[in-house]
Amino acid sequence: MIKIIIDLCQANGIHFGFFRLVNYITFRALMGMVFSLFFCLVYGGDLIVLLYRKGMKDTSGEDNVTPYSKRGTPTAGGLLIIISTMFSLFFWGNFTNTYVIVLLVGFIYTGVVGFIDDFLKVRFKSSLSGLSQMGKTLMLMAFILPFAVFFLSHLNPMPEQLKTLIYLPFYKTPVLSLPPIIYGSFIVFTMFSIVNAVNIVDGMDGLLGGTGIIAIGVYTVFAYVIGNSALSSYLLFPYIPGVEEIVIFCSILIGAIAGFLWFNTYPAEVFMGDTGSLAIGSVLGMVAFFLKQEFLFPIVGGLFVFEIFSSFLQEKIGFKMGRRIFYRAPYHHTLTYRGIAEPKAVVRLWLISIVFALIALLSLKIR
Amino acid sequence: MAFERNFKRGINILLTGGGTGGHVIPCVAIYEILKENFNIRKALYLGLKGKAEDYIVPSYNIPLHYINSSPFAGFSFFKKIRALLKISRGVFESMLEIIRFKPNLIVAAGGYVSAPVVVAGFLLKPFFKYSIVLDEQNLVPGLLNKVASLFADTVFVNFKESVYFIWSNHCVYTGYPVRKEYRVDYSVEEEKRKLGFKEKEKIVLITGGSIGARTINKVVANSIENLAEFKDTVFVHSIGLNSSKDYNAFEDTVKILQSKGGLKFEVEGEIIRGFKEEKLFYIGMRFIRNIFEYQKASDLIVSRAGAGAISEILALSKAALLIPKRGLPGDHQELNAIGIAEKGGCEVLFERRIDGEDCIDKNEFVSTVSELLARDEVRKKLSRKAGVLFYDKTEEVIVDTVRRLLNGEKEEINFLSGVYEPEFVKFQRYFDNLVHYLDAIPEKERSTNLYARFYSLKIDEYLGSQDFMVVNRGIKLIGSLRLNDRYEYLYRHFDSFKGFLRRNVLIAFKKSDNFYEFFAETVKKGLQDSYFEVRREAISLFIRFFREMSCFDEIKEKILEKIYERFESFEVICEAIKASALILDEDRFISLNRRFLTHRNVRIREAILDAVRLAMKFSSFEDVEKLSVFLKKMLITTSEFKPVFSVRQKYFDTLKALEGKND
Repeated sequence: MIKIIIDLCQANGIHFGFFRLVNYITFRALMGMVFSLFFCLVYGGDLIVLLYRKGMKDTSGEDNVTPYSKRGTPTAGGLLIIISTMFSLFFWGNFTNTYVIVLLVGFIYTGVVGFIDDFLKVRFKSSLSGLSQMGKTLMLMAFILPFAVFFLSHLNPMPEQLKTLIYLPFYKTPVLSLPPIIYGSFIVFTMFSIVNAVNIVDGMDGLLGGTGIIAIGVYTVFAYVIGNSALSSYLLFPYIPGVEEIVIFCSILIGAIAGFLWFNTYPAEVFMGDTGSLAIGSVLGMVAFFLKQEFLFPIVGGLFVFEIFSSFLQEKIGFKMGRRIFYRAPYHHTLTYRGIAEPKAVVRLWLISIVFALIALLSLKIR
Repeated sequence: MAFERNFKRGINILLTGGGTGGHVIPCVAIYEILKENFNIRKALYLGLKGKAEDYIVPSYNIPLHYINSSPFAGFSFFKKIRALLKISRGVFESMLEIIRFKPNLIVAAGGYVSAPVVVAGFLLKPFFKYSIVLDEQNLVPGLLNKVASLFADTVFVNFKESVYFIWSNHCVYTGYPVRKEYRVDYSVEEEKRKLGFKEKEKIVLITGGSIGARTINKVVANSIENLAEFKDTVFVHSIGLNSSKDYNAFEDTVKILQSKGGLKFEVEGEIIRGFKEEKLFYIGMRFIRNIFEYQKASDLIVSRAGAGAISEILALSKAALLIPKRGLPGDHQELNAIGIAEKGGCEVLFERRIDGEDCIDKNEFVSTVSELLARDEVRKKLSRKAGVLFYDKTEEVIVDTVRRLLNGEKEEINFLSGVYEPEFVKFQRYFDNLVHYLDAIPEKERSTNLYARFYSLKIDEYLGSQDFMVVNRGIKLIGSLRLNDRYEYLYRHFDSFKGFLRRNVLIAFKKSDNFYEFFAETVKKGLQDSYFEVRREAISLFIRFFREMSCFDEIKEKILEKIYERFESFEVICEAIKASALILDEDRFISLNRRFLTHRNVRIREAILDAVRLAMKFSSFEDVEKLSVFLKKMLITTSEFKPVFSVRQKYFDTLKALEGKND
């Protein structure tokens, strides 16, 4: 909003010396991050109390509340992430940019889907009574399918020949160009997997908060590079005009998640719930496609991929075989089962995802 | 009073609901309650042609109009579309009726006929001023009722647990509205005289509801020779209106009865009378219009366990034998009956499923009935308990709620808040909840506990299933109910089971009270299993029966080998360490486990401690000092840690203290 006002002023010949800064992506990104972070810190406590008053209490685990269990912790704290992101984006976002609008719509829609799921769980007091597998899939598809259509349509400001090209990490030229239909179904499948993978990681205090910041941070760097014509030609990336605004969206989201992590870290005062995890997952997926770095995701989100893979093996294949493959799935539960305390396991997983992030950042230069 | 001011000329009531008597009767009952307390100008009943309301409603002098509707759930896709068309036609018809009738209050009592009326009522609400009340008698409402509940102002529920299923948040607990006839005092002798029975004659009323129950009819017809043996007893049998393609209740029952030799049966219109040596002992009727007179006169009622039937029995405080219908959603009739029987209000007889057909065991039926008839004090106790269980504030609550609705004070109604998750939902959602519950039943009560009785009947069904996860349930039940006559079966099929099932067979054996020879064989097989959890449970079974298995050296050796095995799952090693404390003496135990004292995995170090404790418990070690020296070398810095939220702890302590004071 500030950007639009300043642009309007400058077009009409009114110049504020100081506000020239607004034209710099980094300035707006940092200011956005600070805004969303402070919004979370200021209003987070109140929102947690509000969630508790409205009865949004976590229902996982055993029925009896004991001094050891986490049952009863306020959930659906993803609302805090969504609200603070919207607040900060209102000031620092550029709403004339198509990418920002699509990101915001997807972010809010998946957040609402997650909230419905959380609400149903709370309403019927059981972690199994949320949206059914089918219902959740349909509701997510109601966003993912239009997204795929949008991505391939003329509404997408990306250069036409770039849309269906496939870039591999550590490889500077595109390997092949897929027909739109196949690429579209690839988008649908990948988006759905990414959203679910991110959702499944959300199982420990601060786990998705930390790993989410790291993964989004990597993509922010990529967005800055790819949206900058000088840097992208220097690092041999395809230049995509307009994606620099994704930097702002992502950094605002990082600020919001960091502010949420303030409350969510062990021992958690609030859980993110599906509200937050689905929203973060959808942003990660969309950003990966907007930057043409979808094949980087297995590295950036290596942890997410591994977790959903372990869960898939355990539930789908292991179940058919009639045995457990991992001790517990998703994998972070195996860690606690083997006797690693939760905070320790969370920090270890953060460290692992930092390693993944560093490998991904290497692909900036090694090409 | 505001009420009199607004409705001086009386109120118009539109009633609907039907399909079975279970939906019509409460609707009529609500109408009667309202009639006593309000000035009713007109009433109208919307129902289906040829269903129970066609028989019942005219006798209450309520005009009956017909509309179209159709059941919805359980149909294929195309039939669902056809059903939707029929329902929308019903919506139009009921809209016309509403416009013509101008009601002040719409009472819908469930059944698929009520859905279009409620929807029509909702659509016309902006133009007319009325309130919609939905009455839900069943614990688990049907799909159409769940939808209809969203359009209703208030939902009367018979079970607090129904709130869990109903989508609307405006539920009021009213209990079951029984008809006027059930709410007045009566004397059994007088009722008997009225119906033409002798006072000393015992009357047994057998009823399967207005439609009729096939299994009850069959068991009565097949055991009629045994029933004829009872002296001074008349069996009154309400056979039912069912006349579908595959079953004609009255005709089929008559056919079976007449094929029995030695007894004389006279058919007269819709009544069949049975005589033994010229003495009347059996009256079967297609439909008993004045059934409440028979209910009052009877000494014992054999009935289905629908909500309505139970409420009537409780209202009259009668001794009853309930035969719940098998295989309903959530087994709710069975659980209704168990709920009453647990408090001592009735006897229960469960249906079985044999060769794909539901049936009642004939001998069990006859023996239960004869026992109940022979012992007066048991019947008296049952009837006294039943009377206590009846919720008698129904009328008060209904009148109060309706008055508030008519006055537009919807905010002041005490809607049920909170969710009462029914026990059986817990059981079905997490089967392990049921297993834990059954595990906790003390040995003495295992044969009398109703859940144990009910679920032991289901085992055959579970074990015969094609889906291995259903078989798994059967195995878990065998374990928790300690059905030792079925252990042999599990042992024989052990090799053909999948991983989870093998594990659960071993867990089931572990719960057994006695040792059987084939346990040792199972342990041997389990130790060589390819699945780590089976190996773990096999060693665990050995620990449970280590005294009995102490002579099997082969098993012992294999368990000790597990400790050294490379790439073995840590769970198996943990169990093997525990077992080694029971197998070995202290010196060898120490030398074997020394290397685990500083093992990287915490759980393995924990297992050594468990092993030592286990050994102390069974006192298999003599020199304890050696052990304490041994344990002093253990690495006790761990990555494991269990949090204690101290404020939570204090909170629960404080609550406990407060509750203690109140007692």
